[in-house]
Amino acid sequence: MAGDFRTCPTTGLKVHLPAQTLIKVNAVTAIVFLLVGGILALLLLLTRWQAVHLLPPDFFYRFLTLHGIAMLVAWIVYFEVALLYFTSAVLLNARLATPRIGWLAYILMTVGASITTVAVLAGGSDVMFTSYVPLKASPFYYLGIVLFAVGTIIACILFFATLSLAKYEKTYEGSVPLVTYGAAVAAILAIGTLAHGAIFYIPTGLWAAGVIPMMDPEAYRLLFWGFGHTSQQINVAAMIACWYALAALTVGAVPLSEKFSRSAFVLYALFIAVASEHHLLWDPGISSAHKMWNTGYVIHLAVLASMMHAFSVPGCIEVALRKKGYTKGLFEWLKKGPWGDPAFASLVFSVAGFGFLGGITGIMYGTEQLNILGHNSLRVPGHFHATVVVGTSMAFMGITYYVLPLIFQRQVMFPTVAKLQPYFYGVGMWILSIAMMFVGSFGVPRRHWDITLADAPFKYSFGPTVDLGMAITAIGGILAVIGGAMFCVIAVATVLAGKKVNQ
Amino acid sequence: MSELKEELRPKGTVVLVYFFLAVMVVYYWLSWKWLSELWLFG
Amino acid sequence: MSLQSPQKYWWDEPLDKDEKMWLTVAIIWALFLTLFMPYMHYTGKQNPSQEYAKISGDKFDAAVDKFIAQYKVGEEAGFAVVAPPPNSDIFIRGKQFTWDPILKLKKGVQYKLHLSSLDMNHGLSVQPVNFTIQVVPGWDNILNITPTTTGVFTIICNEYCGLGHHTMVGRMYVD
Repeated sequence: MAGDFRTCPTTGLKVHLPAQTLIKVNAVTAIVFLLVGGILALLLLLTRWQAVHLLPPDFFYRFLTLHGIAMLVAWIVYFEVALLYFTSAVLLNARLATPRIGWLAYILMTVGASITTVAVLAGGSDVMFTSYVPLKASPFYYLGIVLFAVGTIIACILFFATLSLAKYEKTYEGSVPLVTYGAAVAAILAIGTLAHGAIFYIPTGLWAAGVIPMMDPEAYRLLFWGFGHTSQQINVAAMIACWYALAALTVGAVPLSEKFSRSAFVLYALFIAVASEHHLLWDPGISSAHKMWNTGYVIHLAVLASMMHAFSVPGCIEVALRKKGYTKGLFEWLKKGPWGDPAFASLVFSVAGFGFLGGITGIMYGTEQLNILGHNSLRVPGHFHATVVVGTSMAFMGITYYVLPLIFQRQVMFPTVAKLQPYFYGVGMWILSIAMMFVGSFGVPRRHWDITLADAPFKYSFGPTVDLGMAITAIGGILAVIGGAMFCVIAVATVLAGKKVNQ
Repeated sequence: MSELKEELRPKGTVVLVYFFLAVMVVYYWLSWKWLSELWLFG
Repeated sequence: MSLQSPQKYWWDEPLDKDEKMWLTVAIIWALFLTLFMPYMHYTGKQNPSQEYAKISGDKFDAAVDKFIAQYKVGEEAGFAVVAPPPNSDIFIRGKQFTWDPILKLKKGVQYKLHLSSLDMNHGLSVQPVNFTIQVVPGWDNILNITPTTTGVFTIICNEYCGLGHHTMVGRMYVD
């Protein structure tokens, strides 16, 4: 077995080679889907910018469906699987319990993602990410998602098997590292929510294939969001685990209090998946009491957990930088932070954006009565581009700058481009999120090909402020697409042609 | 972090988190104000 | 650091005073957020309805037709214009890709609004007052609604409902 390991010259960690290969494969696949999703994003932006209005309606709705799947499902989940293997096998000096099962998971996920992608591109499955019945997609659309979810669940089980094996083989002492702990919470949430998703997509797919009758549309909405919203909490937990990892890697931060941070993760595990009805707050069929209990995370205990991390993540960064001598005033540490390190810049954009843009607006739109102001407007994509893109994706991009030298063992290519990359992506995405939420507050609908309503029986104009807002959305988005392209170029070039790090 | 020296304490973070809370409170209040200007539903 | 196992007995390390303070404030805020929603159900004037019923598309369709026949006052762009009396049951029917009928309502008067769809999910987004209510096939979403502003209102569909989604626009008048 010893031959299956190498010792990392930088960290001294023992890296299990089959685990390393699986991390590489999953991370590369994630970036391929990021590239696909990014190209689609550009086309969508240029369509919603009414002055350009690039795509015809059928391709707009088709590409919007695929953009959601490529980004929200494929890019993020593949990267999370890579993180699960990294935080279990690598951080614990352990071997991956059964690499073969890891390959099985990867194959299932890839077959699933490919089937769904082809089903959408082939047409006839323009149902959006939410695929609300009676909108009907090809049965293969649902089959692909079920296979992908099953593959991911297998990867999560492999993660827990690796944790138990590491404990049994005593490859570490005491408790697991905080980052592994956070990843474990993400894996717990993933198993629950993805199993739910796989199960309810089976009758939906059978209906699409004509085998069984359709389920009630409101029941579908309830079941879908039990998967659609709760599965985003996997990203939250994984992202925060990444924040702690990035704080350690970029400035050598030590958690202020292990007890504090881990308790917050426990609150996530227990309460964050309670909430699923954020998109059903002005729906028929569900009582207000249930809506408040559900979207209020019982008594806002998941909000409490996020507020705890909001203190402990910047707090540990501050203490680490103050230890380096930046002790003047309140914010010298922030000014003198390693802003030229793309991972640090990504981390700051991610933490601040997730909190101020995503978190605050999430509380507002998720409050039962207030939801009537924002439901299905561009406020909603504004909110989740702040959480899932500024938050999760930027955290993942940041950690990639360390995964490349540590796991791929190659020096990051184009260091100057890398330095600028998080600024393009971060600033662009901040602009896009804010502009989307701004125009959404004027009632501009999401998922809408033509807000000039040119082909409608009645005329209405949102006015010049909204036109300007849509143009700013597009400009922010284009900046972010440039940043995303820079990231993909750096990652792909480094993987293929980067200079080998000395063994 | 109980044994941290005074100059190492995360004073900036304390300011940041309370600023964060203040922004949230203001936006929450504004949202309810906007809602109260809407048609009546019940 | 967070990438390595913590020191032994990490659970016994006490929290710092800043952490304790922030935790307390955060708990209070979480409790406030939780209690404020039910509180506004008692004092607020904009609350989701507790009334809803399952209804088949055919039944709802027939109810809307009857409603139109009863209170029709004119026609515009091929849609019936309907002026229902105060406190009556009023209907809006969503289907690919129209909202009908056109309602003529009075400011400050309460109506019992019934919303349903004959096919897909639709989003009843009324502009420029800007509110959105979900319209679900098979369900009658019932709201007691009182317009408080006058003018010409546009109903946009903001739940994707098919390739003609962006043409699904309706009218409403309040005077």
